[in-house]
Amino acid sequence: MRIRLTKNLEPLRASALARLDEMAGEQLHPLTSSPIAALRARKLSEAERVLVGKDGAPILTAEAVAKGLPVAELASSVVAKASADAAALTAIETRRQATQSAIRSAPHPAAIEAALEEFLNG
Amino acid sequence: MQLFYHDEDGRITQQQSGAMTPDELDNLRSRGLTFVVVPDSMSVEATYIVDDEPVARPVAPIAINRTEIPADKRSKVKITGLPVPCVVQIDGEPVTIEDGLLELTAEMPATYWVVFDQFPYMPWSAEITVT
Repeated sequence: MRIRLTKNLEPLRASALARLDEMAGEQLHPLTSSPIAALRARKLSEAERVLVGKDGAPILTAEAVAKGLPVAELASSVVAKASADAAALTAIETRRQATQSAIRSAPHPAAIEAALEEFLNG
Repeated sequence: MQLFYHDEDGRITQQQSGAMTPDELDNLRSRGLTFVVVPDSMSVEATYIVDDEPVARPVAPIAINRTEIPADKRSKVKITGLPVPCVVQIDGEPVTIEDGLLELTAEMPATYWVVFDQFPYMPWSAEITVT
């Protein structure tokens, strides 16, 4: 009997896409849903208030006093840090999208694995 | 001594080691258990039971010419000597082979498993790498 070996890639793709989302989630967690991320969001909100001259920034005020900095200067650094985090989020999502595409078009199992490996290794 | 419990086909379903008295053996038989007493050196995996005697499981004369081929749809892995007929699992999918010969070509690089496991023959398997 003659048989041509091939693979049904669809289950492998589905598994790889799920694994990709897990890996991306691990990378996104510190930036989006960790307690520190929640604190940073609160500080960003306060920083934006400070920078437009509004009151109501207890966290930044306390931190500025502790560091001996003007509150406005601290607010600027918080905004800059938030911008950096947003860039990191964008980079992760861009890579996730590219990896999804690579998995969906991978011609064989090794290509699927290579796409995941590339995402993992940045 | 050891006891090989077996089913109607002679397949060993359980193994028990240790000394047993004739009364204990009779007790087991009276409970309807089918078993044979064999030397400690006898292998569970390589033995089956025929007419209440332990017999070496046959080894099919399976041969494979290569285990690595390119994914060019032409290069062949040839597996010969399969019992006629038999069922072979290719990546878990059963395929009935009627002529004892299996020729495999490939179009997708991957690792594939070919497994022959048909009692009473000894199991045989091969990993085929397609590059």
